[in-house]
Amino acid sequence: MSQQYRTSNGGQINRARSISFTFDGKSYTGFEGDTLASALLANGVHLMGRSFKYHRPRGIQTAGSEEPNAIVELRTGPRKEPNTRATTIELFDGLVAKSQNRWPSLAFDAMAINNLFSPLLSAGFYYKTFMWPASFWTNVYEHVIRRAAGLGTAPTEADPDFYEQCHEHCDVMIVGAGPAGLSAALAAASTDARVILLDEHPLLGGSLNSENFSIDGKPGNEWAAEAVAKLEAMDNVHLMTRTTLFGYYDHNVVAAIEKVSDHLPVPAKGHPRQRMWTFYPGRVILATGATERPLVFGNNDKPGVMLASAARTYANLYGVKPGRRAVIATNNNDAYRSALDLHRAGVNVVAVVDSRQHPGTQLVAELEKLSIRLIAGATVGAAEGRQHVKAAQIVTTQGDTLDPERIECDLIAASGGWNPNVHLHSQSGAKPVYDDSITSFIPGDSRQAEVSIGAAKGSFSLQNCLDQGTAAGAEAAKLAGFKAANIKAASAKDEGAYAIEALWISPTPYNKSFKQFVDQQNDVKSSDVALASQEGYDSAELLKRYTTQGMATDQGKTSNVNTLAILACQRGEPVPEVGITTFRPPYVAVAMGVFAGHTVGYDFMPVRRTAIHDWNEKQGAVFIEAGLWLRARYYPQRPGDTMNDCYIRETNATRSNVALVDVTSLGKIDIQGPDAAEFLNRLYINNWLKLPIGKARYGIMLREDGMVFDDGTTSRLAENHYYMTTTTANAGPVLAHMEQYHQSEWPELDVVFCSVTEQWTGIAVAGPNSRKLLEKVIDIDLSNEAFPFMAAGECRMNNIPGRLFRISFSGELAYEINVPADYGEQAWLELLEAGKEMGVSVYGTEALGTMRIEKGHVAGSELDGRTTAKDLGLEGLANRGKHFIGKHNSERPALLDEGRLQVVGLKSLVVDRNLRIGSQLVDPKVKLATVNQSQGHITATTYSPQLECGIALGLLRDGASRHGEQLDAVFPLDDETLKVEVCHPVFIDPEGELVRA
Amino acid sequence: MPKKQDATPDLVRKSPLLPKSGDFIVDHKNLRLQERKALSAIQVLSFKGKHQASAKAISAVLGIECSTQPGVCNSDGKTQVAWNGPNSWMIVANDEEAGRASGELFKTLQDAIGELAAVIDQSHGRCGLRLSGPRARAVMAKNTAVDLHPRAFGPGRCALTSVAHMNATIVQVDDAPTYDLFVIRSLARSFAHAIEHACHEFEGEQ
Repeated sequence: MSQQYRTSNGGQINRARSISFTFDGKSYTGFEGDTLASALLANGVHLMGRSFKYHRPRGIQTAGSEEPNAIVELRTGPRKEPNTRATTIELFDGLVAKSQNRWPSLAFDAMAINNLFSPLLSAGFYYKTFMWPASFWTNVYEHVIRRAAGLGTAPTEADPDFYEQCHEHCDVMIVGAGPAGLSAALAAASTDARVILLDEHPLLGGSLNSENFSIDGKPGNEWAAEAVAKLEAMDNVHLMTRTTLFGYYDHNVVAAIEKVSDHLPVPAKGHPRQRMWTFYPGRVILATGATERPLVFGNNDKPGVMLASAARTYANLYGVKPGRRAVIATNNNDAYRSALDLHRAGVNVVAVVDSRQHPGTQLVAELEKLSIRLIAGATVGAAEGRQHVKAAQIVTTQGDTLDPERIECDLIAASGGWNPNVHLHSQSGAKPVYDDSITSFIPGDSRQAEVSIGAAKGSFSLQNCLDQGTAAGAEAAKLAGFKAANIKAASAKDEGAYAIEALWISPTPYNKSFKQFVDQQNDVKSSDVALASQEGYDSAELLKRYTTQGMATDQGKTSNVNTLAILACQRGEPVPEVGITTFRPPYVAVAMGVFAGHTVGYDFMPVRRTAIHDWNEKQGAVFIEAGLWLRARYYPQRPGDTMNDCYIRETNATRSNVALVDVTSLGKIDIQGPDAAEFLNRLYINNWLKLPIGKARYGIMLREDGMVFDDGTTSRLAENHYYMTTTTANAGPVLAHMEQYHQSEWPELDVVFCSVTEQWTGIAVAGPNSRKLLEKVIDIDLSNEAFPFMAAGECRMNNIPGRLFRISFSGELAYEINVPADYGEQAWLELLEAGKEMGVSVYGTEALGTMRIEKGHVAGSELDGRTTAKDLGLEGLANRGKHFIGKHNSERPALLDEGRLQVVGLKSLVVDRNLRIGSQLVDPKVKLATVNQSQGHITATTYSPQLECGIALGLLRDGASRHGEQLDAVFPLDDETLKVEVCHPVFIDPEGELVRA
Repeated sequence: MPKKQDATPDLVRKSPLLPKSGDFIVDHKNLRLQERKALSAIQVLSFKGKHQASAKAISAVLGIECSTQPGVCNSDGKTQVAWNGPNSWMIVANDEEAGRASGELFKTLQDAIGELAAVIDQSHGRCGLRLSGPRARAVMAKNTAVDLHPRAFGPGRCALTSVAHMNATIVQVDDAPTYDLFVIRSLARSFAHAIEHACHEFEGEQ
């Protein structure tokens, strides 16, 4: 029979719409509005999984996100999600779930043998057992432990859904939409403040939906629905369901996860599965309620043992009988509700076992009326049964007899009292304090703009929740600058006192040793707490780490206070002396995907494209990432062309004829003002005061510590107007460097500057025929006399306005033309068209690198932050008669000493063998054993088509004076040694005749 | 010798958003995202002690108030004068709408305030996108932490901030709401992709 545990009526489910789903391959049906847990209970299924360490059968403990046991694998294939809580999964058509941590099946699990060896698996078991030999740590122990312990398995395919992130600001944020939260929202919203009210459930109302309350003469759930409707109609209120606040950070920034599509088979088109929200609220009201704690008795983890409040939630909210014969165990008045509600739902409540000697007379009378047996001064000592509870063994709390009375039942609904949900308060930096009257922790002094109200503050009466909510909502809006609210709290029927008397651990029947669990998700027992304490791990923080209590995905929501209290009993001290562990985000387990948001795959990093990108792509160029830029690395011409084929061909074409390269990514900075020259003079090591208009100059910048920072050319375009170029990598850092010095060191200089990298497309035209090509399209005289090496000026290229510079990175006769970027592709095409008859070609960054090495130009791999201008052979540029950044520190004795690494050229003496970047340079007579024997290293390598051998630049100890020496270039990772000859770093045209041609 | 070809091709500005010519546009019931083409974007950096004088001169030459207040963008409906830093403004207009020739805005400003400030043409360095419609604010909430609620932001306001993890300028144009988003040209496609992606959720709305 299907849904044999469903009540005949009641519950906020839609009985008209039945939903089919499967669990462990078996089909079931439930109703719309069910969770997976309530639907399985309706079908009489309690067994949900095997426990973490002992593989004990486990069922459903709770009806909310605090669930430690009912953890399943949801969905299949790429959408598979392990470790999801059956108690929070909303049922949808076709849902597929599977139990975890069992083999071969849930009912018969081979690893349950761990249960018999449990004495070996005590607290600190890892630390004690897997000590030696050390060689076993990763190879043996890790594998064994990983297989035996643990929960679900990760999916192996990529998640087909997407996640996103959102931001919102508000004046008042209310977390939790129970009676307190709704009251607060009504009060705050009435002042016109911007209010966000969020709740993790699909239905707003909190306990008003799961309890039989009465407010303003109406059933609680009706009052809640009216309040929600009122709030929904206000445009200053944002109501959010299925949204859990999981993190409270500094400056009142909080983060939440919205489960947008988890209740659907697949997300709607264009909708994310989940969304992460970052909120910036003025004030936060924490109406997060309380979590019931279990009683610690023998076998309290058996399926059929449940929190008292969860049992009545299943009856009230879902119309499900969580059992047929129930025993209620409690130490407070609240659990009597469960007896009454379960009775009403048709469950046979066989007994209420109250550990207090004198339960309240009113409650006693109510039970009497319903003929429910009350056993005062007693509690459940242990549960009986293999895979489900069969009976409860009742012992007296006085301990006068340990011979239990046996009561047959299939449900033990237990309440050890309520813990206010102080997690977010604790995350905000505040310290919860112990309140003896409720034997639990309540919020302490606020450290940020937050306040806790209602059950979250330890005020469990409904009227208190309504009153505090109304007052806090009005107060928060007032503090946020709004006029005081004039709104009265709703009134509720008196629910009577809570009257808890602590019972931290039950007496054991027959004096037998039973497993009494405190942390069910991590399989931590009361005996583990005792053992840890005996072994000296008796502070709250140490105990947590030694036993792993509270470190599972439920973060010990149901176990923390019980553990601390049992530890206090061990130490013979009151609970406040033991203290409380600190709660950290996230409050609930959050999928990693939501933190990444949509920035995965294509969107992982933004891409910077030049104006010539589309043309490059069409040509089949192979790209290389340079920071965020995509630059053309080389251009294959025929199928099977390798990178070597390409860059050698491109280099030869440039050196013998003319070729274009896209240099847009170089940083470009526009500098203007009367003090521009002086500013440059302080930034660069060389002279800038006398640079004529229409000229470019190569410059070197140092850092404050005297090391070379960046290089590039700067041109003077007009009297007070300069145009600086930087390396691609340092475009941002150089601008920041300039901003810092201008703002904090030399604010007196009248100079302004900004990046114009994006405005201009840069094209270098290089090769002996470059002038011939440009003369066809450029409107100015390009003769050596009119436009010599290092000339700069404005021009027009056909119709396109531009700036022309006669500079060369290749060592050939070369020009660089800059045009406004929207004309970049057009300029490129026109140059190719004009050069067609002379056979113009293009080259990428690989050939660019080859030519710069051949020419001995230093670049990023030599400017590694450890080299000085002297090391790089550029000291000649420096004018030490003026001040410049890094001047003083570059003169420190250690930087002038002999024995420093200096830039050299290196030629491979092995035919057809290229050198490798990172190879160490060593004396051929010694074998490279330690880094001390290295005399330097190779920084950049290429095959030189000009020299027809492998060449490199390197940094070598006293390299400038060692030209002609032979060394070994050793690459220990591949056990490779190549003979090299040290030479001058400029391999071609040392006199610079070509560039001046 | 200078050589000028007889017949030279016309100048055509190519959008950084598309490989080919055409219009970049997203058009849903509650959302519209399109490129602002033929954009002039002129950055002005006032010289030392010339900030107020520069503001006055800009106001005079454009007939639009130029504010020295952070986060303010004044406009005559065609040309926007957006605060761009402690000594800087970005002056933006669609040349066709404003009835100016290409390059004219730059020249006008250069002539009027060249002594007071550096006038720098960034027209080709910025990509402008216009996002408009009832869902525009929801789309922006997915990409920026700036509070764009009508109580905190509105027409005449601008923000230099991070949008979809990229540096951008947000200018609110009207109450539709309409936002102009300016981003550096090289990032245009990544930027537009992120905004377009954030629009998908509202695609099916009728």
